[in-house]
Amino acid sequence: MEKPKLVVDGKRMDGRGMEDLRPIKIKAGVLDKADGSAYVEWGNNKIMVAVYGPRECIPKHEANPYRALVRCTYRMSPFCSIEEHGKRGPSRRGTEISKIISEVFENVVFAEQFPKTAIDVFVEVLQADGGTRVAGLTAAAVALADAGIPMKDLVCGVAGGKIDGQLAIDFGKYEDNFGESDIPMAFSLRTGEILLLQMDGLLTKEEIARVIDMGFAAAEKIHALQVEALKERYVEKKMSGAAPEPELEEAREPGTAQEGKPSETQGEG
Amino acid sequence: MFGEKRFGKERFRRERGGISSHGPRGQRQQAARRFPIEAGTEQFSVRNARVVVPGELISQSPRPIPYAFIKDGKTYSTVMGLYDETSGRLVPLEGCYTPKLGDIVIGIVTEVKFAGYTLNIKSPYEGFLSTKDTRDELKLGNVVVARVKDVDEVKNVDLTDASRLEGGEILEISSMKVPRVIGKNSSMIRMIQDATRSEIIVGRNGRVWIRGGDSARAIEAILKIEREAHTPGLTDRISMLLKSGPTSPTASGGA
Repeated sequence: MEKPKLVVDGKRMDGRGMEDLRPIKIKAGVLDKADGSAYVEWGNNKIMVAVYGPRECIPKHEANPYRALVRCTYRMSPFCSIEEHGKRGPSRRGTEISKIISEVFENVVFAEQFPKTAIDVFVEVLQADGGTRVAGLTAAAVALADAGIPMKDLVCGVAGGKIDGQLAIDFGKYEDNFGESDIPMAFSLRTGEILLLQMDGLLTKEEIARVIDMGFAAAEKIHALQVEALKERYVEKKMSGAAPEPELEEAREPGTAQEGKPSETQGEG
Repeated sequence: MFGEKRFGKERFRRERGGISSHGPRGQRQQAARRFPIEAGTEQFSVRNARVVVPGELISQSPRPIPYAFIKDGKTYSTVMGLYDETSGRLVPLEGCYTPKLGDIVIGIVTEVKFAGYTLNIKSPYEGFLSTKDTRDELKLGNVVVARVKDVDEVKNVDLTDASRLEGGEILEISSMKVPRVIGKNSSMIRMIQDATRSEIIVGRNGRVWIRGGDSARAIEAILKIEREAHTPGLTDRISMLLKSGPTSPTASGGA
């Protein structure tokens, strides 16, 4: 395929400006059997993420007695794209992305709270259109939160780079393939830390700094969508149950402060 | 009544001043010390709570709250949960069960060894029940209610005071919703028991054992609590559910 014109009159192929994101939809808790799950539609990307764990680490020799293992598996479906990704099975690229996503979450998950266990994250790309690693990572953060795994922050990712000589954010497939440079990034916005930074192609020092700044600005928007997706599950339901409550209800640990009384599981014997 | 055997044994031990050095009484005191609920502190209110996500700021000052962490003098949530400003308590909405000393759990025997039994306690960690700590002889697949006797730093879980549960049904719910199923001073579970005349044991690990009575209604009520655990006014809705329609008069094994 020939290189298309990526920027025409300051607009990109799909009509976006340089700092505009594609439309993003995130939904948490979509899978029944997984401990946590999320589904993201990011432009034409469609990605499903399932989280299992913390659970027993198999194989056992990989288990760490001090912390949980965060294992991510990124996989592209054979039908996800029109070309190049049509094969089944592990690939060089899939292995790399699995590794980098695992390392991002190693940094934010409180793994030391679950020694000897493994937390498995499965990122399944159902439809691909550029920027799947950051979209998968963004959805994985939502799925981990949905699984109740303690984390320092809800991380999110976005890609940026240079197309037709101009810096831009959130690349689609053609921008990714034919652009001059592509930088996938992941951020922890609470601390302002960069958890993932890769680069294809070439950029000057100043350009990189500018792309990272653009990434941070875009990440704010993505983070808001992640929070919304998580809260949506509970806030909506909270509204529906509008019956008045006569007393403060309590959700405390059972088996505490019950000294001398029969156990909470026992009725009038 | 349902846990008669176990609690009978416990009572027996207590009256005799405790047979073993780590009798149930001592354990219970230790458990209470680990999670002190001071009298007079405000109680958690679902109505006033707001939903928080990991990394969300919950206080400008450092506060040692479970499921939160402190960074640069500020407190942030680590989980998705409900945070109540007035009581300063954070209750997670999701998450797996991690065994704690003194918890009552329902386990399923997955392995029979010479020294004891390995139990699946619906947790990342398995429970171990020594033959010394149970009178019953157990088989693979038996369902057992037991108390957590010890958890060490690498999460080896020892169980004690086990007794086998025969018959009945097992319901699995999220362990984070268990406090709500039990209710304040066991009010919720007692209400369900009274209405359905079922024997119910709620394990802290999210397994609920139900036998006899109107068990279908009891299951319906417990699943409703699990679904709506984060909403206020739950007690009223459950009592309405229990009152609606005819309650089954059968009381096989009920109170």
